[in-house]
Amino acid sequence: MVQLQPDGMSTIQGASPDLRDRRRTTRVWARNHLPSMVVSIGIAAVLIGGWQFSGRYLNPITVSTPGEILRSIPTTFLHGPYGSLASALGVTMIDFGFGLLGALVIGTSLGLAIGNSRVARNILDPLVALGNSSPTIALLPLMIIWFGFGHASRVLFITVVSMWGMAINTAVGARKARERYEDLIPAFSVPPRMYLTSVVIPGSMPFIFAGIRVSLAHALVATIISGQEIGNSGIGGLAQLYGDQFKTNDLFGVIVVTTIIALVLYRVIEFLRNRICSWVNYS
Amino acid sequence: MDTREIVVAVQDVTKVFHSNEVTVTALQNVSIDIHAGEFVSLVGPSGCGKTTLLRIIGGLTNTTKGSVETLPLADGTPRKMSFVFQDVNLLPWRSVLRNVEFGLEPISAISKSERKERSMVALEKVGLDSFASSPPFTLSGGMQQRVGLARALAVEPDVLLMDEPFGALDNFTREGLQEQLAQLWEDMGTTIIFVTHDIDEAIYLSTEVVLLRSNPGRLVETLPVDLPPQRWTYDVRSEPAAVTLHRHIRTSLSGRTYDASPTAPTT
Repeated sequence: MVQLQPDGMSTIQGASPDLRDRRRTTRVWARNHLPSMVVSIGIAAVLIGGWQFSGRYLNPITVSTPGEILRSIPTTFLHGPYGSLASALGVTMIDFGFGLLGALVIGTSLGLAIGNSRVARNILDPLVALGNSSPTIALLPLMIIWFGFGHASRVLFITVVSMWGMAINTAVGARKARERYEDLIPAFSVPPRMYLTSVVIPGSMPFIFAGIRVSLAHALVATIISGQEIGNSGIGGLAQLYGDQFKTNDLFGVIVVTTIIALVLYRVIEFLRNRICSWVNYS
Repeated sequence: MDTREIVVAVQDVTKVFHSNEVTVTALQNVSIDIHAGEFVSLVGPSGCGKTTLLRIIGGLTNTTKGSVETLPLADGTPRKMSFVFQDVNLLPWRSVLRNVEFGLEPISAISKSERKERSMVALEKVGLDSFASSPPFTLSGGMQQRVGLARALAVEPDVLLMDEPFGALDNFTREGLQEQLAQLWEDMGTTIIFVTHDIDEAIYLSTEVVLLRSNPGRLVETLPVDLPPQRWTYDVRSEPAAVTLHRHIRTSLSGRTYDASPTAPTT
């Protein structure tokens, strides 16, 4: 048998252990990121400091100050006047989790169907366009009429609001992946099912993640609104109550904690995306 | 009388593309027989329909008129075909090995371990077995093209269709790959249909060169390449037979005639 040699592929010379490489990587990272980090932390410090300072001259009931908010967070978190923030978070996370899950399942399925099949595209595309353009937030009273003031209403509302971004992004990705590698179907007699699972779905992963980010943002908004409007529950309900009572400290505390949780969620999604779609810059 | 076994019979194929009121006849009444074990190059300028013809043979494109028949083997089993694309078409989320396995996955008779084994053998043939677990985008263009070749070889095709596989590569890489392909072909004896616009490449690799012209795409002539095998062992380009053939092809494709030697301009 003929044996062929790989063409030139250079290996990194010098037998220094990874330690030196790691130090070098750290240095490069510091050089690239440290200056901009210092500036953004500085800007945040100035803004928060300015707020703290101006708080002396403003009505504490309407604006509060960062220091006060920080001080109030532990009490708000464990035992606020209207129930603890922790238990409100629990309720909200259930709504948010199931609502988003519904959106991901329905949105991805719709998107894959639209992107993968011409017939499905012709039938579903106009409907998705309609759904995406309709002010889904306005469906909230309808949810109450149909499903009452409980979890079901809120979960459904969150799903209906946040599934469209998922569907549209997935559809674009699925269609692109499908068309990009279409020649492989006849060339290797690939059955439709295998093409869907081995090419279309993995190929649309970057777009699916883009869809998740959009849906996450919409679902967060829908979760807060549904908490405020449907049964005064969870974070939304708590924020509403604190607002009504001019408990600005606690209101800001709720906002700060929710923001941190959302930020962590975004980071997790980003991490997963980078893990699963490491190939994306090279395709 | 040609007694060689016919593998692919192209009969009176016409292909017309319509796009926004523009009609392009990519191929007009093309008939050609491809014989077993030959290395056939389809050569011509861009727009002559050579890629279209290859895609039609491979079942990637339909004909407007006429037919293409791939004849079964002597025992009646259908001949297997596989395709090497100009833009390789590797799946970037799969490792090199998993890309080679892709072509075997539709065949349910092949078990998972057998699939892996055959793919590794194919990778060894192109000299890339040590890159099996690498992502394709870490490989050079020439190496990616070899992964595409390994994917096609893994299905053990009776007919290998190659669409300008070396078109996008630099000269040095291209010559290296031409040599490797020539060696592989002599080793395996597979029938290869190869599309190129490079006359030297066609002469170096082929046993038969099919010339096509454009507007509309049509077949001009089929020429045998009478050069000894193991062409990597001698300088094909400077062989008198190759020089004559090269000139003949250029004349035939351009419609111009060239003098055998240059004449000094008279002032």
